[in-house]
Amino acid sequence: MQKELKKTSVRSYPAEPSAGLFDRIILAIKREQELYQTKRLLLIFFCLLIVSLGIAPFSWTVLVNQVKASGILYFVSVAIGNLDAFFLFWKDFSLAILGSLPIIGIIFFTINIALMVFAIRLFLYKKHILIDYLKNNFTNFNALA
Amino acid sequence: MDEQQDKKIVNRDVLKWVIVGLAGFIIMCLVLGVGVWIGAEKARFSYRWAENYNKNFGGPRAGFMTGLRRFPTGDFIEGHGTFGEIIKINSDLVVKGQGNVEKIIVVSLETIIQKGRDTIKKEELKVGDNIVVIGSPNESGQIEAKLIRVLPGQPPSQLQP
Repeated sequence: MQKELKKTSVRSYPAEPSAGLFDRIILAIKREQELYQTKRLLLIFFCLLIVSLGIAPFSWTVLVNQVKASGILYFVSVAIGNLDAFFLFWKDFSLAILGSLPIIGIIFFTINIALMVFAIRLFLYKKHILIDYLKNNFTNFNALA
Repeated sequence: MDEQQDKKIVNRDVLKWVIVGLAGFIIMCLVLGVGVWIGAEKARFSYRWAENYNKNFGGPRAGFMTGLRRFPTGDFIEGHGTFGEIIKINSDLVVKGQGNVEKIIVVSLETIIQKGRDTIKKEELKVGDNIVVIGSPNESGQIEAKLIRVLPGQPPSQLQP
């Protein structure tokens, strides 16, 4: 009886893990995490790029319309064309130009450009990871097709 | 020894960010101050323009500030410069500018009037001329012109969207 019990208990012991199994598991987990991070990064990049490109024409139109309506270009051109008068009446020129600044248009357009630059920077900063991921996905898709 | 060096580097970094933060704060305060000052100037001129509208342009006896009906909607009026078409010439000029707002431009002997490369006299200005005016606002809601530049071509007010 004791012998049989010994035999079964020996049999129920798990097999000795092969050398380096733990490292491989850790590596697989790390790869999975990296893949998740890359997917997230790609999603953020595409979202930012689409949003910034989508609102670019609108923000540009708002800026151009506001610049035209404010008349800032007239004041600037008069200042450039009459430099001696500009230095003589610099305070009035400065106030006229500052007072007619199309603030909303400038802020809107600057935010748009900042978003676009941030998206491009994000892509350039992680371009190897993102390009590799896209290449792998494209190859897998072709293989399936 | 290494710990001391690390502490020094950390302190230097903290100090750098404190300086950057303070500089940013000062710049922000300056920009805000300039914005508030310009806004106050525009509001003051807009108030005087509306308050003196009946006197300057011949409106209702009660004035326009009673109902705030003719107070320009949207932005305040710029008092240091304007552009538009001359619609009337008497002792002063009446210019129709941004948002079809009429402004009285006071022309004095010191006012420089330029057309192209030439300096011209006030008498040479015509109704329909498109001008850019640089000056300073007075207590009556008018602009005392220092420089008037006659523009060639299309009226600036028609260029607006």
